[in-house]
Amino acid sequence: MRRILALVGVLLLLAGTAGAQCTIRLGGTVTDSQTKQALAGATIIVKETGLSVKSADNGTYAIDGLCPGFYTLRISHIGCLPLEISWQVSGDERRNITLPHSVTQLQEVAVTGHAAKEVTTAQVESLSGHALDQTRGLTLGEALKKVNGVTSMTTGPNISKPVINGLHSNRVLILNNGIRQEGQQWGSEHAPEVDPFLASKMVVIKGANALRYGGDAIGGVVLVEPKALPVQPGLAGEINMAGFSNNRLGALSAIVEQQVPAVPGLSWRLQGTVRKGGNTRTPGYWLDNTGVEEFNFSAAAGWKKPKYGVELFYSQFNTNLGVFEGSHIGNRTDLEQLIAQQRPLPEYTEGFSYDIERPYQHVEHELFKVKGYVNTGNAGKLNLTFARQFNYRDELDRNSALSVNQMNLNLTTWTGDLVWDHNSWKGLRGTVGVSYMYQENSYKRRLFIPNYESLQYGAFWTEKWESSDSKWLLEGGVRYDNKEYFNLGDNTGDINYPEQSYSSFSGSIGGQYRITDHFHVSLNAARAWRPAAVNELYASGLHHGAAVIEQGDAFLKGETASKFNAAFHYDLSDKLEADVNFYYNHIRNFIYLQPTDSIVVTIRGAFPFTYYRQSDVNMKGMDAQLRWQFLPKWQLTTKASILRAYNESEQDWLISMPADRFEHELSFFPGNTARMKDNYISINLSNVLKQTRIPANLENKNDPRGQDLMAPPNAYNLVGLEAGSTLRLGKQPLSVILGATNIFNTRYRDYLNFFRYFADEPGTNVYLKLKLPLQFGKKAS
Amino acid sequence: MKKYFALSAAAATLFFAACKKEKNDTPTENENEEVTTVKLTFTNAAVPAEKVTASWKDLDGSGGTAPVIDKINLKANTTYTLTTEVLDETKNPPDNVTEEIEEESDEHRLFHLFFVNANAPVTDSVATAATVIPLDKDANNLPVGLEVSVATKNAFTGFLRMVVRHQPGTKNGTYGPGSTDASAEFPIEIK
Repeated sequence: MRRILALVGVLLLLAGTAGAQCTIRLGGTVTDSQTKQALAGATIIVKETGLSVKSADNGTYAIDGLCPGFYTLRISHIGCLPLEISWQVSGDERRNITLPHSVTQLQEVAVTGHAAKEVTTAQVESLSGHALDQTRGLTLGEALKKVNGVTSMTTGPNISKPVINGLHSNRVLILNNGIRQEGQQWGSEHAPEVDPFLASKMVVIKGANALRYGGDAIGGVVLVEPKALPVQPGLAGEINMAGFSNNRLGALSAIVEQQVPAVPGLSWRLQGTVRKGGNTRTPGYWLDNTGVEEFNFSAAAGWKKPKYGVELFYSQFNTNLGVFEGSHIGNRTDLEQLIAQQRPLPEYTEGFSYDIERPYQHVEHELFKVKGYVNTGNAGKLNLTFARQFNYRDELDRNSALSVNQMNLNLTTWTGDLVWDHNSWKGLRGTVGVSYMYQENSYKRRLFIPNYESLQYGAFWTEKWESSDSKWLLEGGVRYDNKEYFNLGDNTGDINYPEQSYSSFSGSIGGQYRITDHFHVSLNAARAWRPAAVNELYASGLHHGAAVIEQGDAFLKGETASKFNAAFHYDLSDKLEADVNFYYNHIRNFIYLQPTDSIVVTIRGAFPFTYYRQSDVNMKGMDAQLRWQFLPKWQLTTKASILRAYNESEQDWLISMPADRFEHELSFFPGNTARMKDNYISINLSNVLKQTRIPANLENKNDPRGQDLMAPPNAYNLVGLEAGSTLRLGKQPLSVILGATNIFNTRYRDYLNFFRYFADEPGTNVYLKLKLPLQFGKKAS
Repeated sequence: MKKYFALSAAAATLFFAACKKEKNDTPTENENEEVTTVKLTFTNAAVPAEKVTASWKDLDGSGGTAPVIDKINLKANTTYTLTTEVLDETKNPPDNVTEEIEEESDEHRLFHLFFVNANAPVTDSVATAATVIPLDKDANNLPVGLEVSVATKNAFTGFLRMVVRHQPGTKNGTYGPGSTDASAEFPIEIK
């Protein structure tokens, strides 16, 4: 027994562990909330690590050498009340802390300076805490719409995927708990197989700066980050519940976690989610067979010692997604008929049901991960991560006597990363690493994507330098990647697919200057590169959802993006915060699907022929947001996201790009009572313009439909309401959010929803969300 | 301590071994592919020995090589009985899908439509070429269309489209409900 244990231990250590960067610096200033003066000599203790620092004469503080995770900071100063701040850390961040004056202020004052901001020159935004609670029960794609500049590409009410500054699918990398999510992400109707309840923080890195995660994220990276495992002894948990009226969807998610008191360093967590919803209702009619059922769970265990540590993680995602039958057209003639009709046939809009019938998608995703780290003394930390993923996808079309109408894809991915974080050396902190990925895909029944294997390896090196007065920040990095596709084939061996090999460099460089503590400017330039994806190379045949014949091109070159951005941040402590980002993204050999006039005749009728091609394109835009507390209890938030995407080779606009979007929210905070804290009520307005920049029809320049089958839908305005509070039931806190979207039951269609051809978007949706944090047998500290 | 170790070791082994999904065992054919062939047989009602056959064949499925389509030549002002056969010829022996349509006749309806132009919208179908009357009925006394009578009129050059509409639960004898399962268009000349 002992021998086996030893062996397993060694294996785990070898395979062991964490891709996490452990050279993080937190910084900011400490001021007195009343006198507004900088506090020198304030003590800041990181409770989890015991690390303690003091603020300098000008009130600034810096805590170095943290790993990503959840920390509790205790800040104290003579004459002030000590304060505790919970801080979910994923990278360098800054936060200015105001300490309440001991005598004059109530203990209940909870506002402690504006939220933490990532210290980076890239465009990074995150969702955590209350902002994340507001998205509970939604899919990942819908939740991320809260981030300015992120929209979603949808296929009806259940399938949604994030679009970052106009780019999506193969160009957006999703990291689920530090592992590259590898599914059939190429398809616009393939939603990410991630349980958002797993996350305690979601980070969006716009653009190509995340070299650490892969050079191919031309559009950006989404990090779905769970809380770090608990380090303080005790059993704790959390229950989340969400209910939605429109499709009568209910979601329940629970977490239990413990640091095992008997074994220092050992902790574990179990988490599970169920979601079930029925048919969605648009203003005027139901959409039959649009139900969803989902069952997810995960288990994590970690063993942490000062010198080394190991973490195991396992998760499963299982879902059945009904596909609205009225969207499952037989052929192009059927589709044109549907568009002309303007609403679905009555037989597809009968009423509510939870039943999911054909056509539907069944998707399973399994992730197993082991990570381990060894502290390499003062020099830094060596991390090794290893993961295996299974992705299984079944697409069942409607029942038919004439064909089986089914596609099945099975993808297995193995990834490994070896990463060394080095501690500050003359102000330089950085990471060097290598990564490896092997994939094997196989299909059954209908051929669309062939069987293949692929091998990818890369190496990267990033460094960051911050001046000792925190005025200057410089960062940069390089990465090299190689990707090959081989052993390609169809099941009959009839088609000859050429093998592929791609390789290139990516890099980024940026600088930030903090003109005052309240105003800083960042500039950043990045080059990223993406090999052509398997669907772009080899897709062949009928894409059922879209009713087009898609033809890949095995001679496509890789895409190269050069992205520049300039960002300005201004804040006036709590009162006002403004961010403006301008970007220019030039993509050489941008791969897209070109519609044509040719018709392919098949036994199902005639379908338009589309093929993958490449052009040089540019995308320029602006994401701006303003938060302004214009009266003591009133706050206005405004966001604007503007994008212009132009095809330089064709001298025309690019197809399927998000329209300009504006969002406004007015909130009122009535203040705390003994039993109700963090109370708010808000009204929000989303304004999405009509997309008028679409490629022109070559036959008739004045055709409002352009190269599409239908002109882009009109602009729309939606109004929503929300109220929330944290109730205290005895010692037990309970967070409640009650709200409604689209309160006027407005009829509208969205340009990035494939359903725009068939049906309206959902009508009014009232929701209730409850969060119950639990502490077993121990008082909350 | 030892207990936890054993536990995590067991868990680790389990997770490594519990590969829920194995690689798809490689099938040797594209199982599901669709109908490959539509065969029309016109029998002159007055002279049963006089038959005209035409077939629409796409053996490699959607995309790839274009289908091979025969031209139909009929006599003007003549009544024919038209039977339609639907086959999957990738199977050996060929799979006769016609039988499946017969079994689910209350969910299917075959239409034979005439058009002046190729790939025209359904609404452009013309009644000037011939009169088509279904001869078979399903359990609900609605026409199926596997056997129809085609009475040609005067000379006509254009296209004959055979469409199988799949209308589960909504079949009412018209084209509208449901969606298209198969659609094959033949050039036709009536003279």
